[in-house]
Amino acid sequence: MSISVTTDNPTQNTLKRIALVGNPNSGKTSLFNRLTGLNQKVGNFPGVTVDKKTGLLKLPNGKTLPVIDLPGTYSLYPTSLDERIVLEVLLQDQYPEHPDLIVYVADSTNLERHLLMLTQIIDLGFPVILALNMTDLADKASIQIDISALQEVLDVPVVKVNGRNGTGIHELKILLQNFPVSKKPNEFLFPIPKQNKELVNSLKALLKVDNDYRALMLAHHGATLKQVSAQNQLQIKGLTEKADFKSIRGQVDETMYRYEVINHLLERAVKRTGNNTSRSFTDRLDDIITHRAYGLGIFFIILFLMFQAVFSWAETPMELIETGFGWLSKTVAETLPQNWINGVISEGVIPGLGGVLVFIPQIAILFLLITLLEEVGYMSRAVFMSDRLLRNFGLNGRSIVSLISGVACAIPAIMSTRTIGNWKERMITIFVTPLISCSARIPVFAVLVAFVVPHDSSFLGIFNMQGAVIMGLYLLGAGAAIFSAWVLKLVLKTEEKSYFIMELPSYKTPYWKNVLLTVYEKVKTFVLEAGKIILIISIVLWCLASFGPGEKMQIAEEAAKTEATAQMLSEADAQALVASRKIEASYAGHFGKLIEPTIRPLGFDWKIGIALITSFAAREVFVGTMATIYSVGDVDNESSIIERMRKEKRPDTGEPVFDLPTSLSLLIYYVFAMQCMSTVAVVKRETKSWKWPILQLVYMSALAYLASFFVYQLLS
Amino acid sequence: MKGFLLNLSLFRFNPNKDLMKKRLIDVHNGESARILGFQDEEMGVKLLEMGCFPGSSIHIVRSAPFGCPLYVKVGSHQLALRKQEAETILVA
Repeated sequence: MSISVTTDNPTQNTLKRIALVGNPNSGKTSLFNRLTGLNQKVGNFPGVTVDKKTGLLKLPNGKTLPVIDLPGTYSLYPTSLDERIVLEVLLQDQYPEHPDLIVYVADSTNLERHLLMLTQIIDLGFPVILALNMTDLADKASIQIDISALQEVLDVPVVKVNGRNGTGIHELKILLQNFPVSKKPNEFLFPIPKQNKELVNSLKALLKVDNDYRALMLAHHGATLKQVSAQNQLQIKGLTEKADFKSIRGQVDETMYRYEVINHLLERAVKRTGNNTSRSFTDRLDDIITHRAYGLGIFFIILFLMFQAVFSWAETPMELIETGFGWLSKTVAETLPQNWINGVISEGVIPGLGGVLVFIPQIAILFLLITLLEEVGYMSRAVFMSDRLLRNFGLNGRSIVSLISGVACAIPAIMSTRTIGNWKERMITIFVTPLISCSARIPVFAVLVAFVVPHDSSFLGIFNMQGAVIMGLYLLGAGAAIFSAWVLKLVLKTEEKSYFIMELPSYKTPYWKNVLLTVYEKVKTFVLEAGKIILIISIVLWCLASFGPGEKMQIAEEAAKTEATAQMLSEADAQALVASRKIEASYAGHFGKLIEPTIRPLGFDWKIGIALITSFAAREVFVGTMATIYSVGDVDNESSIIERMRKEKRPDTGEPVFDLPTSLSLLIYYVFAMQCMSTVAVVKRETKSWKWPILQLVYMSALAYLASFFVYQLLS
Repeated sequence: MKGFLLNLSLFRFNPNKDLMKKRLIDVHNGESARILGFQDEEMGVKLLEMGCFPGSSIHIVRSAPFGCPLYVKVGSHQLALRKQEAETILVA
């Protein structure tokens, strides 16, 4: 047979959408990035929390072609959410993502395994182009692949590509441009077994399917597919039961048969010359990196260096963003006419936005490092090393990626749990991740720690005591996460088996495009997810703090002004005093006083109460609120806030409010409390129920309350 | 790798017979064995999909810091699997 790839007839091209399909670690994403560049976006499949990566590919003739990068999967028998969506999209042409051509990406160094799913896709009747990736590595391993022989035996066009350096991309595009979309007669690589023929025929009639293998797949999975109507699902169930159809047995038989066929086909196309027994670079590196003792040491050193880098590199850009927004807020306040709109924008929207954007440097740097570790292949080693330990607590080795990401921000961290196939392990990971101290806690810690430890004290002359306390708070959060996971492990029941078979890909140099695009996506997710909620809530909170019941605010303002004149305060001090009195008379002030009896046992007064309320949506708001309440004019200056808080006295005893018991209790409160509406929203979306986020909110609030209660009562 | 269809019988769990057989869990770190089959269909087919073909050689490189999972090589490729999975792989 011959494959007509040279007929240069652009009008013939009627492709509407192509999909990239392949096993995990086949280099599919590099190829996708290479094909689409920045012309891509990540969305969600409707109703499921699986990333949908789509993009536009520019053909040499100038036409564009939509491409979808389907999640990596080993076969059409899914074991995780990601794999399930691949099956759904390929089986059901009602999906708008359903492709009319598949570019199947395979790792040339392990063709036997990678061709398994290719043969399934060919049997589904899709036109396919096989893109052979990593042929350079195959050459090194003395695996010789005869492309024309491979084309002939598989009856599909084959093209060598290299997603990382761009080899073969043009050839692939030419192939796509001239691809004749014609249905081939079905010659199945896996003929339908005799005992299933009757079932397949009745399913073909029932569901109006013309492909035998598609019908067989519907026998396996039809009863759980989303696009199959409830009635059809019942009918499929009925038919498979009647036919005594055994799904797993069938899967085993099919897989074995296909491997047999693949082996037969590859006999002609692949030659292994020489006995490559020498140990590879990966083998030698893993001797150290996954070593029982050194491996753990390296893991902790990498973690330590990562956090160190995040905090030192992020400092300058964060200060720039803070200053920038401070300037913007001030300029807007002075430029716009003095009315409530001015207030909403300059005191609500802009600081709210600034509060979100200020975390971008930390989050971007942390995700840059995490993505780099993932790209070079280290992350799967971290998963390998931590699986046993985390399993004691109902987690999975894969949870380590979410837990580490949680140090930056819980939102992308929770989204990264999608790779955990086991339901219980995934829920536990989602539940405990917000207990890991995220970057939004740092500003709160930084202010409050000053009241717990005097600034200049050090321990043994080496360790800065404030640093040590903050480190302790991080460990406390991590400890609470682990403990909570363990409790959940005992509480949650599941019949689902947990298994863990994971590829450890060979180490490779990172491809910068993959890294940058991933970081960009994560940061975008954070800005969009957290941004919209924080923005809305900061407007609501501004209103709460700016309006009060009846005339009370006005009366308070007048009184403060008189007082300021009487005390001959400077204009700035007078303004600060007015602001402080106004917030006291506002709705927020009333709420603060309303909850005071509840938080009194934790050592908090109504002023702290206001801050707890305003920072309910996002913890970092705490610092700004403190500045307003204590009438500190210069919000951006941390030390002036600390100075002012230090002077605050209890009205009854005259002792400082922020003494050790209260400050520590407040710190502990912020370690445990949820105080992040964006996380609640993301958990709701990821678990598709209100049950989990509400449980989590109640649990974390209770934990925070009890912990603060004990700390305060013990110390005071 | 020829003829592994004949090994299909090894997918059927036979407690009396199979308990006598050597499993991957019995292979020491640093040693190799040949995969004969799997005791658990669900896990077995997953292993199969990930390249653990009956007849291929499997080498236990090391175990993770807390004794589990295992770092194995099948052909020239690295896999991590837990001891509970290793218990279901029959080897010779």
